Amino acid sequence: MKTIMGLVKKDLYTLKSYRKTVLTFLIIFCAVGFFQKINGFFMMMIALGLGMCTIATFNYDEFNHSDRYLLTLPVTRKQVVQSKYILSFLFLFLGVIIGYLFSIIFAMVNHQTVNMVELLFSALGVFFGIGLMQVIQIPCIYRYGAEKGRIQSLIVIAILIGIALGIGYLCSNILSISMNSLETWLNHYGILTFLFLIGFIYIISYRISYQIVLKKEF
Amino acid sequence: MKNSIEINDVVKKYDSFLLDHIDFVVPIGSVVGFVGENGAGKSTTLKLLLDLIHKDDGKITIFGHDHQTLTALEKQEIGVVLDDSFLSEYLTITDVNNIMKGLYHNWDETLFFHYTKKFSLPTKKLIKEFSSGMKMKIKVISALSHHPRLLILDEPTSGLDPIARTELLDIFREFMEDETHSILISSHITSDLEHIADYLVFIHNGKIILKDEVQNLLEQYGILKCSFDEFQTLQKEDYITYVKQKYSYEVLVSDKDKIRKKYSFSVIDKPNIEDIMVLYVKGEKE
Repeated sequence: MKTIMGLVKKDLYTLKSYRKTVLTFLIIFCAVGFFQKINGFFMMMIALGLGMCTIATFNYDEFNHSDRYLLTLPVTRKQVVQSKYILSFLFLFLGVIIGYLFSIIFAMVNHQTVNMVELLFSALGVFFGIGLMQVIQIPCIYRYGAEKGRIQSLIVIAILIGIALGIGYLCSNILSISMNSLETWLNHYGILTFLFLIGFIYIISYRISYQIVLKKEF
Repeated sequence: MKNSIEINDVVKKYDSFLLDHIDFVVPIGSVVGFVGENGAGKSTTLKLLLDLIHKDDGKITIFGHDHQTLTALEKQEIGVVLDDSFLSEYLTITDVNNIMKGLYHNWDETLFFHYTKKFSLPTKKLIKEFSSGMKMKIKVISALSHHPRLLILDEPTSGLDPIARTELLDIFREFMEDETHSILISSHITSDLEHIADYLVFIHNGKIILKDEVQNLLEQYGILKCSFDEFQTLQKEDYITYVKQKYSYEVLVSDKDKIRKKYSFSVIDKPNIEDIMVLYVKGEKE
């Protein structure tokens, strides 16, 4: 674990040069969220902004061939991959927590009523949505490199959104499944479902990435 | 265990390149220079050794263990310098120290900063602002500051001015004062190797074409300069290769004393490693 944390630390040090960009990003979306009074959007953008930090570390690694160098140190391929997923999870978690707290603060400042459960659902939804993007992006980047991988992952994400919209249309217009029943189900099992799905997609993505890195030549 | 590294019959196939049954050792307490022109297969061999790419055949051991199953503890004993890769250039030397502390259990912070001070490297400046020499020095310092027993160096002196090269060679000499240490150093700057290497391994087009002690190469080998008529008297088994010049022949021989005794040639020069390399690659053998 010490080695993995050492690798996470390596990425955090590398991102020092990225902090101004992230801070600017956060300030802009704080302002937009505050003045437009749209909490969900604000939370999503913060999570997205911080989530992008993980992807940025791949650019730095690729530019300096750092993965190649790291593998000459007492570091295994498995630890390199694990560290990226831990970093991704940490940034996403941090983004959602910041977004959640600021949403409460802004709602209070704007004299809006805060529905904590609804906000929690939004947070989990954001976590799942941005998490899904990341778990698609990471294996794609390992497979195709930082630049190509991002394009490939965007294609995959677009396909997934298309499928989701298609299923939604099929349920409501053709199969006539009521969205109310889905809402009722989510109200009962939503938190558990989201947590399970987040864990599941991270584990599957990690396993795919590890297999890619195991076979990869540096 | 006699050798730090043993490479036996290693093969790596690419579409347009074949690393063909590579075979050499790095004895404990010695420096092995790995030379060859660009694209000869030096970096590929080092990448195979470090398990960065996968071999198609053969066996590689480091400290007597298969290179693919080295434990973290065994990898702590190796220091590596790669020509084209390191940590991010958006880090400072202080950051590098903090990162390495987390990756090596025997990271010697005092030694690391002793070296940075010795080489006047700024600790708060980003590495991307360093000169090529400074960048290479930080790589070498990082490879040395966890007290390794083996150094694997890929072109550590390329792109450096003579002073920086001398400084690095001095560090390697200092490292070799301990008899349990060894170095495998790849370079195409052969003059550096003459100063530091005990053995030389010469790779050309993916094949090892020469392995010998540096002293033997420099003392025993010779470059015979002769006329066409004189060249005609030479028996094929007495020379390695030759190059036809405008008015004369340059002939590489592996035992100049034997040639002197057997023939009456007056000019047999003492070659340097570069001469030997060039004659091996450019020369002909009928």
